[in-house]
Amino acid sequence: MDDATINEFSAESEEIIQRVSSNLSKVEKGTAEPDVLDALYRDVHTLKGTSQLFGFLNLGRVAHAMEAALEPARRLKIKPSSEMLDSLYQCLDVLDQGNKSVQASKSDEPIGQVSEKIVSRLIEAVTHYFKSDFRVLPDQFGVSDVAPLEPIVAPVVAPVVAVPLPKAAGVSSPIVQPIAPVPSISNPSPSPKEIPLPKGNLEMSSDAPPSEPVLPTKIAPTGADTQTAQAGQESSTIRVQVSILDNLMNLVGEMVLVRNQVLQYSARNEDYQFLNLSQRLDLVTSELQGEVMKTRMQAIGNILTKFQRVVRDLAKDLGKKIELTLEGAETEIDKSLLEAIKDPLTHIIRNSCDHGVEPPADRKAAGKNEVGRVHVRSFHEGGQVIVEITDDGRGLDYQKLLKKAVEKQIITSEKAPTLSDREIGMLIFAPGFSTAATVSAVSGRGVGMDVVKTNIEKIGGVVELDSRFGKGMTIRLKIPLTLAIVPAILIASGGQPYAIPQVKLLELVRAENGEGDGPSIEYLQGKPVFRLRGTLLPLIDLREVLKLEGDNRHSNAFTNIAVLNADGKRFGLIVDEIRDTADIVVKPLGQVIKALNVYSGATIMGDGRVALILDVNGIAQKSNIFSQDSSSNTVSALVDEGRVKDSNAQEFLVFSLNSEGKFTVPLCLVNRLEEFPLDQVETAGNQRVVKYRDSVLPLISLNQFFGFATPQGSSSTDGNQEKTTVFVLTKRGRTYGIEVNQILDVLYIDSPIQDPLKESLGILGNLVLSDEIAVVVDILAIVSSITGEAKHTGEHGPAAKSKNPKVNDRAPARILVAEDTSFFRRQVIKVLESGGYQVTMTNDGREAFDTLEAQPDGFDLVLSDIEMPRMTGFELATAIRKNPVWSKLPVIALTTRFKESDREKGREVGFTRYLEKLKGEELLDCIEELLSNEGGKA
Amino acid sequence: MTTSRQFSTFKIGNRLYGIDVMKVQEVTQSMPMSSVPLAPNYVHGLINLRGQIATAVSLRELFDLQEKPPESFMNVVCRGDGFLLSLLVDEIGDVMGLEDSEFEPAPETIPENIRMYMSGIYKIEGNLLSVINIDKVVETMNN
Repeated sequence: MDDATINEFSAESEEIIQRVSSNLSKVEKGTAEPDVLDALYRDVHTLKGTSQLFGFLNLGRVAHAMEAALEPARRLKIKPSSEMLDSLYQCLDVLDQGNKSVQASKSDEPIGQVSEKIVSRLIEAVTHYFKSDFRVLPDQFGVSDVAPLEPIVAPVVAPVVAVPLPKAAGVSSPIVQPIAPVPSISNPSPSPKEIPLPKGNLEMSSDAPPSEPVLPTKIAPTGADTQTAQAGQESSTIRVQVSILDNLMNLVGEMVLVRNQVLQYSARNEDYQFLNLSQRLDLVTSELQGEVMKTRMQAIGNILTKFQRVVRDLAKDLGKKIELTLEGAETEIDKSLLEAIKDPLTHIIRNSCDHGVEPPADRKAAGKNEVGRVHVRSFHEGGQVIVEITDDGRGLDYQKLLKKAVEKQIITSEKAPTLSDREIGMLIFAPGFSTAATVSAVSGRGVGMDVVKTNIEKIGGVVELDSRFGKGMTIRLKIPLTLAIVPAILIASGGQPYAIPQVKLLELVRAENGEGDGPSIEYLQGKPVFRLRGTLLPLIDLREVLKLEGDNRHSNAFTNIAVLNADGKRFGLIVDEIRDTADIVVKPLGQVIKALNVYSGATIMGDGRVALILDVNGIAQKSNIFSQDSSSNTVSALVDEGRVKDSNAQEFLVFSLNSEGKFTVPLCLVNRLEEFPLDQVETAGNQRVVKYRDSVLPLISLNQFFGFATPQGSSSTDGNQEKTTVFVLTKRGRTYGIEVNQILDVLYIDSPIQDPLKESLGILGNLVLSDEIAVVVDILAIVSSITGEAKHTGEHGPAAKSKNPKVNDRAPARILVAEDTSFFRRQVIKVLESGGYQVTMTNDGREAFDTLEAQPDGFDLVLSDIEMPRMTGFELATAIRKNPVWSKLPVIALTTRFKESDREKGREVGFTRYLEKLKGEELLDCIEELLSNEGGKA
Repeated sequence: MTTSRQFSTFKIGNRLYGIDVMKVQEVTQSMPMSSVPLAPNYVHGLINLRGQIATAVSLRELFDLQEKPPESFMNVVCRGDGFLLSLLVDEIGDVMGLEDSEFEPAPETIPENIRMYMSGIYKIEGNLLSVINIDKVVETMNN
């Protein structure tokens, strides 16, 4: 047990002892109100409880006896006899003695002996008094005699023996010392008198070895003597009502505001002396603020140490072995915040023990130490208190979590694959989520981790989570030092100031407007984004969030962006002005404003105006940016690879739609561009078609597919247009006309396609053009979804029908694919799977060759890219052809290298065919042809 | 003998309103106000009242009065449940002691959504004084 806890205990005990003393004197004088006896009883009861809890059994025993003595008096509302009162006073003195000894040496052993005597005396007095009245039976005291107390006495007495007496006395209290061979107690009040100790009772301490001399003891009066004697050790603390500290804090908050106002005024003032004074005021106020904050600071250990017990009991209940280690228990935090994090912390630790740490057998099997570790570390960092709860348990099983989240309808099954690991981890904080397969008594008690998160956020804190499957998990709480005064940044939008807590602010950046060289804001499907050091940052305009009038953003040379952190996700908030940083005093808001979920409070600024404090999480939620996360869109392993250099540069057709930004498709998918007069467009069924050459061309409007509304009064579309712009593509032998607004350009692009911010049908990803970003439209998927071909293969005409019959009849052909670029990999998988093939995907030629070597008969066909790291397609083909086993294995090159010299080389190294990428139709035909040939030969 | 109660009176347009004096903390001049975007239309903004923040409520919107508001408002500051509430009024009147005998509940013809904020009507000479049920206003804001 640490010093702080013991100090707290003894400070409280002291308070109780004083109260009991004054109440006793009231009872004695007969001036007591009827409930004083009740108060007395409650106090000694509390004292008994806490003493026993802390293991101070001597104190506990005395308090217990007092409680027992007071019980009948309280119940029967009788004034205790004077003997009883004497005895109670003596008990009180002993308690005081013991408590002082606890303060000095963390032990109440020095009163061990005397407490026994005093207790038996009290019992005698009480039994005598009430017996004579025949109103109470002795055993109603709980202690009718000393005998029942023996179990408590025993452990206490023994250590006394073990410690050499002089030392024990020296260490503890100088007052408890042998004085005279005659045992005596000098009674401090009301009238000091010598009380010979009844011999019989002394013998009751039967556990004391007979050799040990009975300690003759003198108990000093509680008055001046004690204080002089204890002067050196007198604690330098006083107990102050928390409400007074709260008021003090509020007043200092007010003072900070006044100080801010004075500073602002003095800055405009030329009075030198006033300036001087205001600067001193500034310093003194800051210091005062710091000191007042200190009065409310408490070591976090105050609550952490209690968890030792919690964890021990839990481990026992759960049949696990868990060790709790604490680090940084001395870290200080505002008392009210300490209270506020107590429950969330308890829950997290329980959770770690219950769900995190595995049973010993499992741990052993996993090669871990049988004893699980839960480590709580707290420290100050950047004006915050960080509390980390780490366990070395099983960590989070992301797949299981995801499944569960979908089952519980916390997320949709469409959205599930788009989540990053971190996002999945955060799901455990979603309302209604519990990861334990069975709800255990320990952590499944109706309050989930969502409550933890809500409570931490309520006090302006942040919850973060790190987990490694099988290794353990860390939950990190970031808590402000104090609630009342918050460092913040002041911004303005629409001419009005707002404050953003610094905790939420990551950085401030500026985007250039117009034609400048610097980074500027770009638009993706109408949503502004900003390229921040290579990654896309979704933007929200505060004016839009707050529905403010006007837009002066474009009139400035720069746009100010505050990069904020909401739930561990970054987004940029576009604001008109960034003004200043300031310590603000948070004032609560009425419910009507709080309910808007956009403001977390208000503050008064230096100029006396009221500024609203923005609720960053609320704004993020309101703007729905949670589904798009720019910093962690690592949907799968594919993504990271998608960012690696892609040498497969290709041409893209860039066009516009009824939405801001540009859109594009790979040019190789496009057969030709056409314009049709609108009066030629007919409607067959509910499908718009146009006569094209000898057949009917179905038209697919991308605006309609994406739900982009026609801008009103816009001239770019239907209004004055008599033609519709279409690009024609062929898919599985059928042609389709894709309607767009305007064909802008054809660009040769070297950069890879980045995965979309948000996985959605019809969007392949984003492409960085030279000066902006274009959305790559997954046109094949759009056509499939509109024609519903996936379900109705029969509709594809005779050509399509004839394609796969053999494939369908036998076991699906197995195709090995080597491709290093995620975009093409996905394309190829899509195409092959639509053809009913079984696909094995590898990342380069080397991996493909290894896979093939492992299963020499495992594949019917190999499909390979040419340019790949480690082993190119040419090398792969060469290697395959070297082995006679695979002499007949068809190997198709799939590439964008289409120079004749390359084709030539391809044939030389043994490629069966040499195809262009992204021509799904051609590929399927080719595969079908090769496989049926092979089948024929076999 | 009839009992009388004291009311702080004020005007909005030409209408006379009153609030139990015990509910009124103070009356102040027009003060700078910060607007609260997205808030209900009757919340006009926030006022710094000597370091306390008061929510300014316009009875014009609450009572659905159509006429044009004046350039500046007076504030009748009342204590809400945990917050300060400032009613924006056009003109401050006297404190009036009114006899219970002059009191009548608000007529049923007044729409319920407005009548709920009125405790009743005092018929005084030459005018009718509507008593505002400030607790109800506070309740609306805390719902």
